[in-house]
This record gives sequence, C-alpha cells and structure tokens, in this order.
Amino acid sequence: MASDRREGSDKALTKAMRELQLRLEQNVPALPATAVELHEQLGRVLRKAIRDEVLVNGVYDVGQLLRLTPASRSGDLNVFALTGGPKDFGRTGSPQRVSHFIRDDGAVIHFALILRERRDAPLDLVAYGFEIYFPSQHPIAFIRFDLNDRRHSNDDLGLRAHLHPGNEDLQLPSPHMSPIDALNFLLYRCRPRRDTPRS
Amino acid sequence: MPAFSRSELGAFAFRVLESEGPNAWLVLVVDGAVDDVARKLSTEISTLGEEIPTTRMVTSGSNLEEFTQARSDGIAIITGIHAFTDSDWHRVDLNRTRLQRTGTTVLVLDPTSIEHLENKAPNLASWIGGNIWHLEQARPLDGALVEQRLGALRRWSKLEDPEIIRRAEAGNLPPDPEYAEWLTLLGRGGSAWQVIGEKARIRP
Amino acid sequence: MTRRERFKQYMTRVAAAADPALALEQKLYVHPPNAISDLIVRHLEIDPASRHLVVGGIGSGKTTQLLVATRELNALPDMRAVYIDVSQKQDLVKLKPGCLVALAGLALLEGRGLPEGGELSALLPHIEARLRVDHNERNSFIKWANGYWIDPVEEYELDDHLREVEGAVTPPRPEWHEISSMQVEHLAHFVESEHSVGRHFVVLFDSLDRTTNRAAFTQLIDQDIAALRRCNIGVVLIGPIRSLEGFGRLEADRFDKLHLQGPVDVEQDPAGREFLFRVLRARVEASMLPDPEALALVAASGGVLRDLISLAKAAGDEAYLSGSETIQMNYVQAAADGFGRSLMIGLHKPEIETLKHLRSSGGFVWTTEDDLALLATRRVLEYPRRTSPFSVHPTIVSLLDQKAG
Repeated sequence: MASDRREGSDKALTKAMRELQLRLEQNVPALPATAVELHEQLGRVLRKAIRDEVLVNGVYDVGQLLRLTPASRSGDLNVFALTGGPKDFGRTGSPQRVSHFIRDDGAVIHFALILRERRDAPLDLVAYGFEIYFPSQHPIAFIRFDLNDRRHSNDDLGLRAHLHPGNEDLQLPSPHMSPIDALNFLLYRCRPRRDTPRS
Repeated sequence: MPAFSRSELGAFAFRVLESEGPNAWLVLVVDGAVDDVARKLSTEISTLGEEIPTTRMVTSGSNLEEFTQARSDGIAIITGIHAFTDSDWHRVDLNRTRLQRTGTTVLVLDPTSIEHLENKAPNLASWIGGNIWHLEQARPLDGALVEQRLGALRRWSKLEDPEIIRRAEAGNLPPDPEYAEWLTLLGRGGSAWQVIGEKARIRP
Repeated sequence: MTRRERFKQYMTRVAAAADPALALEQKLYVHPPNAISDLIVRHLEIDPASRHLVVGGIGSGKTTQLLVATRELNALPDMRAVYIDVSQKQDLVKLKPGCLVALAGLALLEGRGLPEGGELSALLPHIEARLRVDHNERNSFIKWANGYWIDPVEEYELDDHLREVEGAVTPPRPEWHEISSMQVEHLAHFVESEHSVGRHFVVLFDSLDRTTNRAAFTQLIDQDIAALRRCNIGVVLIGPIRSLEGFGRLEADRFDKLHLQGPVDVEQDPAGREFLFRVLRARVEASMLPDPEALALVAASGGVLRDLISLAKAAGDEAYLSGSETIQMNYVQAAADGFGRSLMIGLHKPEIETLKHLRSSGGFVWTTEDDLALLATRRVLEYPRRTSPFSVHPTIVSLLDQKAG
C-alpha cells in the first residue's frame, strides 16, 4: 500500500538524516574549557563588530546584553546560560540599541546557548539558538540556527542541528556551528547578494 | 572614599584602542593578579585592533623613563608599579615630560598604587585626569532579567514552570533549545536529560 | 564621515596630555583675556633683561603661555627668545647651581631661534653674532656645561687642586659663588655678541614648578638668576606655587615681576567663561557638542584648562562607547563624575574634613603641607580675585555631599 511504501521511504530518509547529522557533528572546532572563556570570546566578536561598524551598538551594550548565568539553584554549578540580547519571540519592529544587538542594516541579532563544563574536556554545547530577524521583513522575516537538546529515541529525525528559514515549522539540516562561527556569520554575512540576475 | 568608575575588561580594551593620542594615559586598577590582567588586556586589544601592544614590567621610576624614551609609539601596558618607592614617584612626577609618548600608555596597578600616584605624582595624575577604571567582572542576568526571559518563554509556550519540570522528568519535553534554557534559568540544569538523570539519582 | 571617524577626529583634538606645542601648531589655541604672555612680552620689550616668575596650578596653561610668549618675542626684530623645558635636559632630582646658566648658554650657542626659510638678509645677524663668539670661550663653555672625561693625572695638573690661603683683605664673592665665574663671564661675552647685532636674548624656563626640593630650588634662584642678570639675559621662569607663601616669598622677591596663572573663574567671570567656551569651540562644533553641554563642561572644569580638555575627551569617550552620535548631557555628567572620583582617590579623613569645611563655609587657610598638597593636586582651586579665593573642585562637590549624606 502507498502508506506502507511511504513509511518505508520515511524510515530510510530518517536513517540517512541521522547519518548526515553525525557527519555534520564532526570537525566542529573544540570549544574552550570554561563557559567564562567562551563568554569572553563572544564578547570580543561583538566588540570587533562594533569597531568594524557592523553593529550600531555602543560597546557598553555588550556588557549589558551579553550575559553568562549559572544554573545555580539546583546546585549544578557546571551548567550555564550564555545569552545575547533579550528573549525576543515578538521580533519587535522598532528595536533599541540599549536592549538589542542591531546590525548596520537594521537587522536584529539575539542568541542563547546552554553550556555544560566537564572535567578534563572542552565545554559541552547542550543547545543553542542563534537568530537574525529583519524588522523590514526584507529579504526574509528571520533566520535561526538551532541546536536541539540531545535525543536518544526514535523521535530523533536527524535534525538536532537545523535552520529555520523564516518559518517556525520548516527545518532544514544545518552544520553544527561553533558559537563563534555562528555569531560571525550572522554579523557579517546573512545579507542579500547584489541585485543581479543569476547566471 | 567613593568607588572608582568601573569597567569590564573588554570595554576597557576598546576604550584603550579608541583613545586617540598623542600621549593618552589610562589606568586600570585591579584587585587581583595584575600581571594576569595585563596579559588578558593585551589579548583583548590584539583581537580588536590591528596592533599588538607592548607589555612591560618596570622596576623603578627611571626604568619607566627609559622605556618611554625608547618606545614612544604604539600601545604600552605597564605593570610593576607596586614596587615604586616614594623617590620613584617623586622622580616620575618631576621628570614627567620624559614620560611623554606619541602612543597610548596603560598603567595596570593595585588600589594602593593608584592612591600613591594621585598623592605623590600630581603632575602625572593631571595627564591621566578621570581615566581611572576599576576592573569589574562580567555580570550574570539579575533576577529581573531572568524573570523577563522566563515570562517570555511561558507566553510563547503557554505552559508554566511546574509543567515544564514534570515533562522533563517524564522524558517528554520537546528538544527545542528554548526548553533547555528554561530549565537552566529555573536552576534545574540545562538539559532535559540531566533533569531525568537528577531524578534517577534522587530515587535510588 | 562615519560615526567612528567623527569621534576619532574629535579625540585627536581633545588630547589633554598632548604636548602644548601641538595645540599651537594645529591652530587650536585660543588667546585668553589678560594673557600673561602679553604682559611678559610687554615688560621684556621695555626691559629685556628683566626677570619674571610665573606661578600657577597644574594644568592652568603655563607652558602654553610660555610658548606663546616665545613666539611673540621672536617676532620682534630685536629679540631672540628660547623656550627650555628644564626637565628634558636636566634630571630635576639632581638640580644644582649653574644648571640654568649652562642651559641658557648652550641654547644661545646652538643658534636656536634661527628663522626657517627666511630671507638671507634676516639670517645675516644670526650668522654675524655667531662669528663674533670667541672659539675658545665657546668650547670651554660647552665642555663645562656638558661635563667631560678627564685623566686623574691631568686633573692633578690643573690649578684646582691648589689650596687657597685667605689674605688679610677678602673681596666680596659674587652671588653665584657655586657657579664658575669664568663661565659666567663667557656667557656674558656671548650675550654681548648678540647685543652687537642689535638683539637681546631671553630664556623661558619651564617645568621647575614641579620641584619639591626647596633647598635646591632656592639655591638655583639665588645663584643662577643672579648670574643671568649679570649677563643681561632676560628670564621667564615657571616656579612652584610654594614660591608665594612663607619663606617661599624670598624666591619671588628675586624676580622683577610675578605673574599668576590661576584657573579661570568660570563662576564669577563671564569673560572667563566665554573664553573657555571658545577653547572648546575651537576643537569641536556644536553639532557634536551642543552649547549647553559645552557650558556644562566649562563649569565642571573649575576653570582649569587641562581639566576642561580632559573632561571634554571623557564625555566624548562616554558618548562613543554608548553608541551615541552626539555628546549629550548625561555623558558630560558621567565624565564629571569619573573625574571627581579620580580626584577623591587617596584622600584621607582629615583632608575630606578640610574639603567639607571649605565647601560649607568657604574657609581654607593654607598653613600646612597637607593644605599645600590639596592645592597642588587640584582638589582645592584658588581664584585670587575673589574675596574668598579658595573653592573645592566642582567635580568633587557632589561626591563630598554624598559622603555628608
């Protein structure tokens, strides 16, 4: 039956996607050993972007908007939230420098990472979300690179690292980005190409 | 005495780079290891700009003079000021003109040394003006900001905190990174799998 | 121009610790009302061998006025003036009599003040003056001034090792008894060679205001100034503010004229306020630093020129680091706050009490070294024309009030 054939194709695709995900996980640059070091590295990326006038923020905004917060209540001192900018589900149409990282073209960048420190090993990247959105809706409403929390179950469709191309319900496979690369990409790239026809 | 103006290291490095001379002087006051901070400051500046600062530990006033005469341009990060005696301070103040450089000079020193500088080297202090900063550590999200983020997560998901925890413990929390952040901000560890793991440890 | 470029340009023009000569070169200088450079030049025109003492607080603009006076004097056809930063040539820790005589002579012999790119006819008097200097005297003076290596045997053969036996008649010794009389005479001859071509020689000495060694400074004044007077050399010298009080007055009395370069009274002198406002406007336009903000900087400076520039730079820093396009009032306030905090560093309880007392009652009597230190470090400013001349630096007033609270 068609439904059986479809199920079979779906299973084969899931297998392929999981294998793709494994390949995409490889060759990701190792993270530093501590969350503080990663926090410092991301701070440098943001300050350099300000100096390059890619971000219109002042450098004080980096200290305000980039925060490293431990998950201390449970006593698990090894887990941290590293956040850049507000939790911005609304994607405000009129962002302010004091509360948002704003690019020179008006696009807004915000991100959150969950990190776990491990003994004698680099940081474990538990999850992340790096998003850029365009208040003008041009060329697209938003793009977000997500890294999901790990799953070891049949629910795993091989899309732990994925990209949302302006739609929350659409997910495309994505490489595992190092946080530095993800942030640099959103800052300096992710811009419309020149307005010329494709060859 | 009122507290000094405070600055995180990255912002201070930015300030140093953007301090157009000639002969700009800045001071960074550090409570802990001066040399360690000087090294980190050098890294910050190198990453941000095109030049690598010169870092120098001086042992006396005349040593500082020798350095400034030999290396007039570029950014210089100076440590070792804690070793200055009264006569060193006297000397650097008297011969202040010999400290003149075309580049930017940063003194990284401890709180006692900055008091000595202000009291014993008023001519040098006049060059520095208000460019004295106390190093502060980066701040985590405060309670209000954590609550802002949690509020946004609740509105987005239409769920409340106890439900999130329950689902995490049951192993059926969605894998989206937003939930990992939610658990972390609640102080329950970052991953749903950790929460399950905690529960497993609690229940033998 | 991008925001960064605009601020970079601004920062270059408000470099508070830059060499004052640079501000003159970059045409950022604004001539103050009643400038002491005008007074000095007018006096020297009439009496080219007169002696002038300049006293004023740190950052009040003394060096700039000396440089301006040097420029104005050199514009006169019968004057040759040389500016000397003594600390560049002499370790001020090791001041001793003869230092100023040596520096004056070396400057004269080096031929500084030669006009650049001028007509040959303008250069001729300089060349002629040089030719009239005796070669041996010149070499002897330079050797004495710079020091030299000598074989101990040679030294033994000099007359200096002979012991003098006093006669029944002892003539009075010159005031410069620790300076070689022979070299002073040489210098007098050098100056005569300038006079013979119609020029007077004036030296303007800077940086001696930083001297805290009273004995050394007094000796210098007693002997060197007297020797330079003997040589008919005009002298302008920046001295320490202690020259004004107590035994220090003896030093001031060695000079023909005392000039006070104090802070501008921005509170009570509208012309002074206007002057400092123009100092800022010479460096930055209103589109970047609006008038109210500029006036707020003037007020916060207490009238101390370097502090004004320093505050302007700090306000610019704050604006730039905050991502702003212009320098607004909150950045001026942040700059003033930071400046005041820096002035408060290292103050102990008795000094804070002194400042609070001055703040509340206007009373301040300069009697102790600690009081002098408060003046020297700009926590207390002196406005000589006021009835109550002393005032707490404006940027620490609110901080003192906080402590009172």
